[in-house]
Amino acid sequence: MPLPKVAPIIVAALPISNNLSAEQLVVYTQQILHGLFDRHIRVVSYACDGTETERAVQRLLVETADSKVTVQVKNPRSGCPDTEVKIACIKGNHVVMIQDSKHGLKTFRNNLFSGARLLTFGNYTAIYQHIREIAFEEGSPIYHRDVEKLDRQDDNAASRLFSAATLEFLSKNHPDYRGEIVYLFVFEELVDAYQNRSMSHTERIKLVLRARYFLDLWKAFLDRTQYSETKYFLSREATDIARMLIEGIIGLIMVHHDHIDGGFPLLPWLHSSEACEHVFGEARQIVKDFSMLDFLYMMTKLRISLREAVLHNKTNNPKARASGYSHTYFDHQGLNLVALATFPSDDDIQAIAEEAADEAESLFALLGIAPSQLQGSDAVQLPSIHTWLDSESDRMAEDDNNWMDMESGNEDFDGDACELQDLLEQEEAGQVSRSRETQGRLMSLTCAALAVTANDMMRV
Amino acid sequence: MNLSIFSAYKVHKPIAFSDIILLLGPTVAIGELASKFWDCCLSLFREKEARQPWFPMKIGDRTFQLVQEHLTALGYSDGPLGLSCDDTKLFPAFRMYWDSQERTHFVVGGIDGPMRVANPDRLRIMLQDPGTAKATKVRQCQ
Repeated sequence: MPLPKVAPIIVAALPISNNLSAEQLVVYTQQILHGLFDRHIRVVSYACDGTETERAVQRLLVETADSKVTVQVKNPRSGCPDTEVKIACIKGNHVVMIQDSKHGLKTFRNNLFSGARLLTFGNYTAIYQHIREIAFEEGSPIYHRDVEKLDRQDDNAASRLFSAATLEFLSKNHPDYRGEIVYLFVFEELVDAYQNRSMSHTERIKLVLRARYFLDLWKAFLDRTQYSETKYFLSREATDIARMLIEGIIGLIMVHHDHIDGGFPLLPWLHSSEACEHVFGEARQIVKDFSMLDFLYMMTKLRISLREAVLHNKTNNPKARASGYSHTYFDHQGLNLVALATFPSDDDIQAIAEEAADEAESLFALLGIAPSQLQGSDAVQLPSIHTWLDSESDRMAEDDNNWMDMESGNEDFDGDACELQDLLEQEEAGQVSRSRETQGRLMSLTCAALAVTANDMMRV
Repeated sequence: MNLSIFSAYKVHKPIAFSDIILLLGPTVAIGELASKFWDCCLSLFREKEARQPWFPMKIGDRTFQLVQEHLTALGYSDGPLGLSCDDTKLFPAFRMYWDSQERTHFVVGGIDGPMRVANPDRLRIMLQDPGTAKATKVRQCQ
């Protein structure tokens, strides 16, 4: 629900198996979208996290749409590829594919901390060692736990790393760490284009286009110097997520500008999968290992929890360490609805693109590479954004990003109940004779399991 | 400070808010009043939630009808909306429930949705059937 102070609506909950493919999942999504459109409910975005399967579902949704609308932002540099946003048109409704921006931020943090690659731009690199160093310095905005025994799903740690305080600390105390400064700045601003509560949409477009042109220059630099993208560029997954974040905000602004009447504001931070994760988190607080029926019975309590969080504006402690998800979508401090209901024209966007390209080039010049060296007559032409994804299979990147696919298993869920259930089933199936003492112990465990189940049912 | 101070005054004779401020001090009085209002709001929510319709177990017409009714109640029938999906692990288990509308028992927790149970023998056959798989994840859309 992209409105301030309104709790999200839980549409559907379906039991599924572990190994459903994107082709099978997209059927459920289409069924829900078609049902909503038949009731004249105007869905303008489909958001999910950055796992391989979820991104494949989004790709399939666009491919199988009734038609596609392509929005183009011309590249101000001649010979460079334009930014093209493909918007799915389903039953006459425009649906923009959105990546969860906070998941994106964690992906960029994990790329920086990965030992599988060395992010190299010009004369500088961005490396984990430097971030670890500053975490141990006096007055650092980063905690020790953010760099050691790190929780890859920690929203707060990612926010602390990509924060103005960290940038200020780096620029004051380590101005020579330019690689880290530029990397943190570009991707912090990319996510800020979604998360900022008061910024104008014109400014948001500038931030995402700057990230886009910076990535283009980075790619061109690696091509020119013949460095391997597998080792010196973002991972394939992070590149795809960055592309979707860039295109998502442009698509949302275009759809609101061109296809929605009534002056509705666009609140981009609400176009995310954060509310889904919030529901799961609340459910696990009621019953840690819930079954499908528990979840359905819990729905009333979950709705109340969501409303309570939204009305009370209950955000988690931002100073928490290794605490996993931190939900902030209902925080509307500094909200500027007038700015959020004002959309730039095509001419404005073209002017912004020019500014964004200038800024990206300045950033690259700061890293010791004159953009003209990459765009000169004997230089290779800047590659299209789509070619980022066509590079040779990036095995290391896949290994590095497996954490994302395993993410649903990391939501404070260690499967104690499953393990106990398996052991009890094995015990029932087996016909092994045991001592009286062991039999007694087994009976006690069985009773304990029944008591835990009864307790869970009472809590629901 | 106990809230009963407000109800005590309400029962015996009306008392001006200025008197309460005089008794409790402005900060405490405002705080107590705010929490009193919050308690009222919370109990109202719970009464309303208790009357909410049962959450649909399958994707069907009722799924979308509930969303539409919710939006109409909010006065936001024609505004833009965002859909998001995510999944999480589930404790794989079959659980039985009584559907008062259908007047029959259903087993929930399989990947094929709720299964009608005609009698105990049928339930035993269903649970022993290797084709009846337990769901290991729940996929939720908002």
